[in-house]
Order: sequence, then C-alpha cells, then structure tokens
Amino acid sequence: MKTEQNRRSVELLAPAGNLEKLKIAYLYGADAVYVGGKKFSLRARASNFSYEDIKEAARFANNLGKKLYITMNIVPHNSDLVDLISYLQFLESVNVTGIIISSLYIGSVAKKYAPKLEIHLSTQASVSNHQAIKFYEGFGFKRVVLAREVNLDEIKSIIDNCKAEIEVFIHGGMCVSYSGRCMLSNYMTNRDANRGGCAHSCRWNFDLVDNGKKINNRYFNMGSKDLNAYKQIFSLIELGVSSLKIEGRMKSLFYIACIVRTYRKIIDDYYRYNGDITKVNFDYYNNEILKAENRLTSVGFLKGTVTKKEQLYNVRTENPTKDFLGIVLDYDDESKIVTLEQRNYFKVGDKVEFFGPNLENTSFVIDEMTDENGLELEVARHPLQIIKFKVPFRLSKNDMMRK
Amino acid sequence: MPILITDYLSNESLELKVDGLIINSSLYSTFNDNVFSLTEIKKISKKIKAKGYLVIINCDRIIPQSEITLFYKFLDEIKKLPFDYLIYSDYSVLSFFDKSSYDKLIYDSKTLVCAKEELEVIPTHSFISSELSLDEIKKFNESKKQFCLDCFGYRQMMYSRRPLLTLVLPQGKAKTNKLYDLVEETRDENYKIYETKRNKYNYGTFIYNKGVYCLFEELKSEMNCFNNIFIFRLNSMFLSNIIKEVSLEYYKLVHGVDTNYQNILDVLALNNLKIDNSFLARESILLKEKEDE
Repeated sequence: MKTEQNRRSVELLAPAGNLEKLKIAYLYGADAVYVGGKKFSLRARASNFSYEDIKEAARFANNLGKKLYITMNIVPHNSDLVDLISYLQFLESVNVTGIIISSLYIGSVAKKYAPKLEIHLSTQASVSNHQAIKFYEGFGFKRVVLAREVNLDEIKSIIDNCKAEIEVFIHGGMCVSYSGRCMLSNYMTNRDANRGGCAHSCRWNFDLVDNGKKINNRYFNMGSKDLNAYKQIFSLIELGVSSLKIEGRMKSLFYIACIVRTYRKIIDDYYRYNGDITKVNFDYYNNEILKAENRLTSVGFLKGTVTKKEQLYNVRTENPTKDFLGIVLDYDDESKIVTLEQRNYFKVGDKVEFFGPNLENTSFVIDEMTDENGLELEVARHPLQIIKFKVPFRLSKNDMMRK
Repeated sequence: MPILITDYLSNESLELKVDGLIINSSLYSTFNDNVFSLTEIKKISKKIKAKGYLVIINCDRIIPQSEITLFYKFLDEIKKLPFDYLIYSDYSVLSFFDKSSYDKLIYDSKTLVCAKEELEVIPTHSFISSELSLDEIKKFNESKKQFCLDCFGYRQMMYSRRPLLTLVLPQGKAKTNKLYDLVEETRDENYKIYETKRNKYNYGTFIYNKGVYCLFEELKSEMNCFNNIFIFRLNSMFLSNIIKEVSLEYYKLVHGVDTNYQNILDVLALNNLKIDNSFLARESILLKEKEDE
C-alpha cells in the first residue's frame, strides 16, 4: 500500500537558512522545506528565521500548496524551554505544517497546546529499527527521520513493519557518529553539539597513541564524506519512503537551487519512466550536482557497512565545477534584455550557462552589458550590482547564471 | 535510600560494597571491558542474586533493524531471569515490555536527557546526561520523578557505528578491542578511543573523556541537593583495579557514614589517573561569541 502511494507522491524536502533560500527551494522543485527558528533549533550559525520570517515562509508555502516544517530538534536544557508553548502556538497559528523534534517533552507540549502541528522525529533520536518506531507511533509521531546508519535492506524492512511515514536523508553532511550521541565538540571546545554549536571536532587532526608511543605516520581526521544518494533515489521510492531529505540549512542559494533541481528531475524521471532505471542518464545528474557540491561525497551506509571510501582522510576540499554568477530579476520578451543581480565576478566575452526550474542548461556568450543606468560595462565586479544584457532565449525570474 | 551500582567484572565483584551489580551484555551493550554472553548472564545473575545484590542487565546499544529479531529473542530469555533492572538506550525495549514492567527499565542515552521536564516524560527510570553543570544537575532535584546519576568513571563522548580506526589508518596499524589514546593536534589532552569488534561484528567506535569523572565532594557537601536520586552508578570500565576502594567510599557516602575523599584521590594518583570534572563548573555554550559575552 505504501509503495503504491509512493508511486504518486514522494516528497522532496529541502533545507533553507533564510527566506530567499526558502523561496528558491520551493521554486526549484522542493515539495516541502524545513527551516529553523531563532530558538530550539540546531545550526546556531545559520541565519535562522524570525517570527516574521516564519509567517512569510508559511504564507509563501501555503500559496504554492506546499509544506513547511520547523526544526525544533535541540536536546533542551532547563533554561531552553522558556516560551515553548507560545512559540508552538504561534507556529500553529500561521499554518506551519509540522515540527521536527528529538525531545519527547517538546512533543508532549506540542500535542497539548498546538495539536494541529504534525510531529516528526528527528534523526537526532538515531532510530534504526521498526520496534522503536512503534513506540513513537504510539506517542503521536506522524513521521520518523531514520538514523543515517540504516541501509536500503533495513529501510525496506522498517517500512514494511510500521505505519509512520519514513523520511530518509539523501544528500548533505553526515555526522561520523550516531546523531545526538557525540560530545566531542562539548569536551574539546565547550560548544554544545546537541544545541547547534557543534565545532566539527571530528574533522580536526589527530594522533593515535599506544602506551605513550605515536603509531600513525601522519595526522588523520575522522570526518565523514557527505552523503550523495542520487543513484539510490529510484530504490528509495520503490521501498516506500515518504520523504527524501536534503541536508544543508547553512548551504548557499546556488547550492540549494542546483541540488534541489537535480533531485527534482530524478524523482520526476522515476514517475515519467515508471521506475525504469535504464532510461535515466545518471552521469548528467552527477555532473549537475558537481556544479554546486564543494565536498567529497559517498553513499554513506545505504549500501551497507561503510568502507574507506566513505571517510574523508586528509584530502583537500573539492571545489564546485561552476561558480554562481547571478540571479535573474526580470526578462523583457520584447527587447530580450535580462536584468540580473550579480553574485560573482564576470565579464564581457564570458561563456556562461543559464539554468532554472523550467529552463534546461543553456550556454551563452555575453556580448555587451550595461549597469541599471545604461552605462556600458566590461566587467560586473560589485556584489549585488544590477546588470543588463541581451539574451536571445527566454528567461524567467529566479533563473540563475553560472560559469 | 538511593541505590549504588557498579559493573560486574569478575567473581571479585561479588565482594564489592555496592547495592547492585550490572552485567554488561556482549551482544547488546556499549561497555568495553568485561562483557558476557547470554549463557554467562544467566549463570552470573543467579550468583549475584544469591549474594544479595540487585541484578541489573545492560543493553545500551542502538539496535539496527537487521538485529531486531535476535535482540527480541535475547530479551525473551532475559525476561525469564531474576533481574531487577534493565538498562537500555533503544526504544525498541519499550515496545517489547508491557507497561507494567516499565518500573524495571532504566533509560540511558548518555546525552539526551538534559532537562527535568524531559526526565518526567520518559516512561521509565532514566539516567541524566553526562555533560551537565552542577547547577543543572541540582535542578533535577525539583523534578516530580527520581533520576539516575553517573558519579564516577570514564564518560562516553562519542558513539559511532563506524569502525573508525580500521577505516582511517593504514591496514594493521590499529587493533580492534584495544584502548588507545587520541590526541588532537593543538591540545595536549589524551582522550581514550576504542574500536569494538565482538563475535566478528564491528559494533562501532567509542571515545571517552580524558580523565575520570568523580562527583564526590559535591555530593558530600550538598547531599540535601541530591535527595531525588534513585540510582548512583560507578562506571568501572578500564578501572577494575581501583573500583574496590572507590566503591567503598561511595557506599559510605550514600549510606550516610563518614567518608574519606582522600582515599579516592590517593588511589587515583597511585594509578596515574587524573580527574576530569570539566562540565561541573560551567554550562556548555553554542558559539564562541556567547562565551565572551
């Protein structure tokens, strides 16, 4: 039954660290977006959403008929629970779809004071089997985000044996430990990983010492490669997963647009080709991901126990294959002039690529360009500078340009 | 009167001055010292009971889906034993036992219970998090529910499903089931690291704090602030040669008899062991800027 439903409606869930990223995530194909408020959320360094931002985000989502979830997934200390009830009631009042939590206490308060909010269990709870999910179902959780240590066979077995919706991470950063069970940052820097302050201590350089003697030849780090499950999407949909989640509330606008768009296309291909994986060009999708991905990636635990291929070692960070140059503000059909907001340096003569939610990758060489006052420019050098030039094909607002 | 418990490591543990002994399952606990098979657990639990101790079984691993059927078969057998409490970290345990048995269960996630409100929502007994300041620990005294407290031993800082040492070092450089020191490039602190392999399976990698946690003086001087404690636990992992002296002083403390903290300090010094009570003094923060405020 679940698999049949999935054949019509798996959710693509994207992260957003601010309103602009949220809108881009929806426009580029996310069915749902999750964001954090100023309190109760992990990712203390993300911009995070004010009350007004959340209100606007919910309005935007509801107008599109899409969903908005608010992360409240900290492990709360006594002092963190101030204003909890009023915050939950506010979220319900502005028609947020649901909250993502790891605390049973926050869940119990939400059930009592904001019962319309869906309650989703965060990956911070490290749920790895269906019997644990049964407890949470009884508590009132509608959906469970599985631990990232679960493989495809286990996901199938879990879905076959529980009623709750199952959400699985498909892309982005991964803890090297079970989520929620790592205090390295706490001990080494006093920054609380379970309240959004993780210092990523696992990625620092370490020695291993045996009875006073160092046994490694050079420093090692314990960090994990990021997750990249583009080739497993068809399988995950077949298994009956309800939601495919991209990690990255601190990621850039460009990253969100590229990654969300790519996974949107893969999911649409699944339905278009009725699950026939042979019809899909995965090299194309991998190249699209690489245009924004700035870290080494792997499949994590999805294929089973991790190997050396899933670890980071002492390698340098990979850079994306494309730079984000600008975002389309307007396009005039008659004059064929695009109005673009600069996000990175570019110049006349550059061969660039436009892409968008409804625009396939289209290359173009910039011939002439002006600023917003009509002054000719050779170079667009200032961030957020407004640039105009002629483009022979139709563009839409929020399409992007890269090189 | 609170209960004092520690780990059963060998028959010598049957001479310890404690109220209960924890038998750590080789298959389902994260304990990295002496652990026991189901057959051994059955025998040891009878011995412990015969000596008048409480019997506590520890199964605090996170249970993967691929092992859940076998884990439930294990619990079927445990249920037949004369155990008093079972320590768990995975909520599949709550789906196994009837609610009428919940008073025999003790939750131990190590990190996830940091507020008294959270303690009150958990349907069984529960340990509180290991990384709380003294003021935060005292707050639990105001809870409607009693709580369980670790007061001595190494703290588990990280629980990873990955066999990290095997993965990050060249083949053969590091052994499984061996305790090493992990030293960060810019710090001179040694953290303990242990990659666990039992019955041919990799159970993960564990990192422990740099010294022995010892909540003693604070308990002694402010015992009235800790009158809501159900269980005090002494973690004897890697400390088998000092647990006898340590448990005696804690036993005296819990039972209101004159204690000698210096005895604990002396035995730690004799074994080159340092105390790490870093969290007691100050609460953790989110960002460095907040520390400067």
